[in-house]
Amino acid sequence: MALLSQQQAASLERKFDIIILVAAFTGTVAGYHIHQMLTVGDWDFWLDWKDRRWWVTLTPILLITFPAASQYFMWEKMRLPIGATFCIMTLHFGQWMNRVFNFYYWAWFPVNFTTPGLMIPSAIFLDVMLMLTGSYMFTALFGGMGWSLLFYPSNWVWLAPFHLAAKHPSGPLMSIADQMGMEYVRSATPEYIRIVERGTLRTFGRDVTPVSSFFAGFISGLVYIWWMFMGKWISKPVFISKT
Amino acid sequence: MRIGRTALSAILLGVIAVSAGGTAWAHGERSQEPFLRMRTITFYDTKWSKARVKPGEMMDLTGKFHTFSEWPRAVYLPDSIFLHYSVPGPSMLKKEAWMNGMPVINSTSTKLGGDYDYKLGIMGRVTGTYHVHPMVNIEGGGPLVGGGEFVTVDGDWSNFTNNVTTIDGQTVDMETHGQGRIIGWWLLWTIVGVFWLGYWVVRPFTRRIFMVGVVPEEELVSPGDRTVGLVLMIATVLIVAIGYVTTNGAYPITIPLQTGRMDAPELKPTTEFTPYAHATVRARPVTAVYTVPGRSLGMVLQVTNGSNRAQQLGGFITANLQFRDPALFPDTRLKIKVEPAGPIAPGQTATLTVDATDAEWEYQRLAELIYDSDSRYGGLLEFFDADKNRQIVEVGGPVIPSFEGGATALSGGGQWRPTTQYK
Repeated sequence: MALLSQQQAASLERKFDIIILVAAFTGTVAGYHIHQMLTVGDWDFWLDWKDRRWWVTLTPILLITFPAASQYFMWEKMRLPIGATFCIMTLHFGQWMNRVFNFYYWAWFPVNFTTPGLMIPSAIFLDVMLMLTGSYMFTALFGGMGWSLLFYPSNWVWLAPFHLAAKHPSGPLMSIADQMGMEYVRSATPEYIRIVERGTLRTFGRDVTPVSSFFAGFISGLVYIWWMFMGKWISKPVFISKT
Repeated sequence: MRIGRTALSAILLGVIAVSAGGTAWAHGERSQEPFLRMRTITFYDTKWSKARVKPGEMMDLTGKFHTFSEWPRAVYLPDSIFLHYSVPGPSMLKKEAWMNGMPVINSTSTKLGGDYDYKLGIMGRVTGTYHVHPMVNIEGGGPLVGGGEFVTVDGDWSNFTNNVTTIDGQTVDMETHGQGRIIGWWLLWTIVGVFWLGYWVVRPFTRRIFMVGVVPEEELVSPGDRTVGLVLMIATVLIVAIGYVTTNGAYPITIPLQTGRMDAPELKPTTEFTPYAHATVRARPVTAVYTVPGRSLGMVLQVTNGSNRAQQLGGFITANLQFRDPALFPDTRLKIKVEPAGPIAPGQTATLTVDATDAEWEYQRLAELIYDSDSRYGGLLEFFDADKNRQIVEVGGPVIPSFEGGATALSGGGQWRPTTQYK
C-alpha cells in the first residue's frame, strides 16, 4: 500500500471525523428524542402543558440523562467538553423536524403551539462546569443546579406572550395558552389528562417556579451521577479474545 | 367469487345506510362494544347547523346526552368528563363549549341519570371534509362518541386568522402569536450552541482518544479554551437573565395556566322537554329478547303514567339510533311498533310490547351485545303528550338472544313469547 502524504492523511482523518460526527449525531437524535418523548412527553410538546410545576420539575430531571452519559464518554475519552450541548442540539434538531414537518405541515398545529422547551443555555452551563472543574461531583452539584435553574428563565422569554390573560366569550378567564389548548383540538387529549399546576410542591405565595426549579436542581444532580455511571458502563471497552 | 359478492354486499349496505339517513359513521363508532354504546352515554337530538363552512365561519353542534343510571361496572363512573368532538386535529377549532347553559372549557362532572344539553361552537379552519361527531371523554374510561356527519370546510385558509383580545386590550392572532420571539430567541441560542460545538470539532477530534493520558492536559484543553468557556458560561447566564427581566417588563401581567373546573348544573324541565330526572312516567322492564336473524329487539315494559296528561310511547333511543313510532312521526327511518298502541291515561299502568326491528342492529354491530360480558340493553324511551311535549325515560334490563329464524319480536312465527321473567 502506498504511503499517504501528510496532507492526504490529514484529509482522511478529517473525513473520518465527519463520519463519526454524522453517525453520532444521527444515533443521538434517535435515542435522545425517543427518550424525551417517552419521559417528558406532553409537557415538552404542548403549549398548555408548560406550567410552573410539572414542566419545570420533570424536564430538567429527565433530560439530564443522556448529557450526563455523553459527558462521561466525551470528557473521559476525548477531553471534549461538549457532551451536553451535543445531546441537546441533536434533540432540538429532532424536535423541530418533528414539530414543523409532522405537527405543522401534516396535522396543522401552529408551530407556536408545539414549541419545545429550550435547553441550550442549560447544556452550555453544564458543559463548561465540567470543563472548569474536571469533577463529576461538582458538575452534578453545581452544574445540575444551574441546568435546572436556567431552564424556566430561558424559556420564559418566548413563553410569556402566551400567558397574557383573556376573557373567553363564554365567561371564564383564560391565558392565551389555555385558549389555544381548547381551540386547537386534540381529540385524543381530553383536558383532564393535563397534569399541570397540581401536587404538593406548593408555594407560600405567588412564586411557584423557584420552588420547582430548586427541587429539580437537587434531583438533577442525583440523576446526573446515576447516568454518569451509565456512561461509564457504556464506554467500557470490551476486548474479544483472538482465539 | 364468494368474497367478491360479500364485499359488494357490504359496500352496498354501507352506501344505503349512509345515504338513507343524515348520519354517517366514519370513525369506528360501531366498533365500540354494544353495552358501552347502549348503557353509558346516549347522545340524542344531535344537530349540525351547517354541512359546509368557510375557513373562519362558525357552525354549531348541539344536542343532548344522557348518563345511564345503571352504569356498567366495566367503565369508570362519569365523575370527571370532558365534552369534546372528534375531528382530525385542529382542522376545525372549538370556540365554545356549553353544558346545560354553563361554559365547559375544562373538564367537568356529571351525575348518573342526568341529561345534558350541550352546544359546541366550531369554526372551520383547514380546507377539507371531516367527520364531525360529539364525544364525551370519561376519565379512566375513555371516549364515547355519538353519531357523526360530514362537514366540509370550503375555501382558501392560507390567510386564516384566529384573533383574541386580552384583558389589557391587545388583539393577537393565535396562529402566529409570539412567533417572532420564538424564532429570534431560538436562532440566537442555536448559533451559540453551534459555536460551542464548532469551537471543538473544527479541530481534529477523533485523535484525542489516543492523546488522553499521554499528552499534557493543556494540549487538550488549553487555558485559552477555559477562558472561552468561562466567558461563554457568564454570557449565557447574563443573556438569560437580561432576557428574563426584559420579558417581564414587556409582559408585566401574566397568569398561570387555568385548571379550575365547574360542575355542570342540572337540566331544568321545560314545557316541551322533561329530562329523566324530572320525568313523571316510569317504565319498568319486564323482559326483552333480541332475535338475531330477525334483527329485532323486543321489549315488554310496564309503564306507569304519573303525569296529569295522557302519555304515548313514541320513540326509543339507543346507541345513537332513534327509533320512532310512524303513527306519530311518519318520516322516521327507524320504526318501532308499540302494542297496544295509543296513549296511556294519567295514573294508569300499562304493559306495552315494543318491537324495534331494523337491519341497523346488525349494521351497527349491536347484535354483538350477546357476546358482551354485560348482556343488558339500555336506552331512552320518548313519551309524548297530545301537544308532542316530550319526556325522556330510561329503560334497560337483561336481554336474551333468540336464534330462531324468521320472527321478529312481535310479528309472526310465534317463537317468542313475552314472559314475566323478573319482577
